[in-house]
Amino acid sequence: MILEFSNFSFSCGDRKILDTVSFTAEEGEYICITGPNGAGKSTLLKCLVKIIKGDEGNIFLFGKDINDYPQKDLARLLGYVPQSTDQTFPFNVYEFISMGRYPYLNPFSRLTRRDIRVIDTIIELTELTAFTERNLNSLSGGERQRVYIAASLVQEPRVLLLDEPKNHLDPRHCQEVQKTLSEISSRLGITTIHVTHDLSHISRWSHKIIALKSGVILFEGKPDDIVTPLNLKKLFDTDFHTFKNPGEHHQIIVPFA
Amino acid sequence: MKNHSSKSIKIVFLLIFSVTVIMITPLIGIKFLSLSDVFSFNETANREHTIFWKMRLPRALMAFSGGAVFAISGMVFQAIFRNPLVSPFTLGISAGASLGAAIYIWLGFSFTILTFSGISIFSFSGASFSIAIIWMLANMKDKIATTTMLLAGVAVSFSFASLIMLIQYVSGIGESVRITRWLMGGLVVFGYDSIRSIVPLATGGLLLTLFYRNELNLFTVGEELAISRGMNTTLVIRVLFLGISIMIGGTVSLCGPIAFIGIISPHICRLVIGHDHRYLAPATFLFGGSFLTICDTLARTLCPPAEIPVGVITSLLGGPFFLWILIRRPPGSNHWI
Repeated sequence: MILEFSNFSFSCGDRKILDTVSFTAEEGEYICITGPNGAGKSTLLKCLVKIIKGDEGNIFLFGKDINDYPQKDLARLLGYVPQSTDQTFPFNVYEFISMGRYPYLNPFSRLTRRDIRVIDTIIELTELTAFTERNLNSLSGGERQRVYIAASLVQEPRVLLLDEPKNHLDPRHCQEVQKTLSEISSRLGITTIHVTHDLSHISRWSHKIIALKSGVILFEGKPDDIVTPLNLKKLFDTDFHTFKNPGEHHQIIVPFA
Repeated sequence: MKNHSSKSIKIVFLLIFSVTVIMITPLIGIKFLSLSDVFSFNETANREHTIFWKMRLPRALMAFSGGAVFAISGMVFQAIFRNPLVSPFTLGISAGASLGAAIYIWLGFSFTILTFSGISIFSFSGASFSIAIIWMLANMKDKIATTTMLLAGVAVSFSFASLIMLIQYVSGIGESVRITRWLMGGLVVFGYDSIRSIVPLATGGLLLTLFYRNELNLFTVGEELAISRGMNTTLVIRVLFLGISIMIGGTVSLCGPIAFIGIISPHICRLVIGHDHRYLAPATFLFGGSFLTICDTLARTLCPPAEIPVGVITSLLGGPFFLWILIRRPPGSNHWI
């Protein structure tokens, strides 16, 4: 067990965004967090990286409370890929990715040979070699998403946190990004926590699903046990059909119209 | 890598240019000086010698340091607040300094403590008052909200500006004119007393900025992403705000709030050298310094024997220059403008 949420709560004014959330993650696990809009999925990730602070309960990372980690040490363990935005940055791909080495730098050092080797390896792994000189603003949504993933991977994290990384992507780019993610997480042995609405994706890639609704964990478990039309109706308040994908073992899930 | 060396060359060029500006501009004036006058050390009573070493050179150093401080503090504030319109004066520090100076003139004081003039002491106290107010507002919660800081600064600025107007209204015509003149900024110095205060301020500011160069780059990509990369944003904002504010307060109390350098110099340098603060910080420092030194030379020579307030020149020259650069910039070169 490398990550544990223990009765963790976060509120915004009177409203409880996360309400006594508890779950654990094992090394190398691919966990999906799903649920309707406003369920607290993104908040959960932000609390984990200490972008926002929880009110009650604890989050333990490698057995130590995250509040006991200096931010730099936390960044060496957690890579965070935020929800995609239209924000533009005035850096090129290489510059942006190398900024991910920040937790390894001190104010007097430059990038060392080892830093550069890590950056180059990740760029190759995410197939961004052809893009390094391109300005971030000139990339397509899918390319930019890959750059974000690469930038968080150069932090050499043990846990990768993804906030709907495939939002706004067309099917092909979606596929590409997912392929990159799955390959990398299994190859580097990284634990992944992936926030998404994409239900078919959930049942195919994840080892474990956590379903959040109004800040409470509604259910959690293996995809095959969890993803049933009944459960999904409870979660999203709408009807679903599920089909077995012929020839493969995962399910296809379609909202019932 | 080619990219990096071309940026380094630009910095070296700027450095040579700056040194040249500091050396050449003191020769220019109502009386043009020649190098032989300046370096004739054997005649100690030499008038040209005094004009150069005691008046024009300290003035050039003052202008250079002041311009560099305003430029680099504008750059830091624009980065922290992620806002292209922020200037060193947005947070109300110069308003506080101006209020202090206005009170000093209004009360008709005239004193000097050690080597500091009374007006500098009053205006620095005013600036410190502003800094304290913003600091308290910003630290009311355990996390600093930069937008709150910015709005609080604007509010403080406006309140203090109206107090200055009130003081001007109730004071005599002579004092009122002196206050207005002070607000335009001026660089008149004799000897090196002020230089001994301002040069360390400017140098310290540059070193602080370079120390935080990676953090300033991370601010550019947003606070949340910066935190996730391991930056303690609250601490960095606190240190930078305090350091830069004291630097601005000290500078304004010595040469008044000189307009426009702080807001345009960083933008011009971003267009030329990019957004990486490793290069942007020294470039902005050198550019701001040279720009104010040149503007001040124009201010003292354009209509002799009168002197145009240097703040007028910076805006008058800076505005069109900036527009020209805006029009000429390659597409997509700046994500702000």
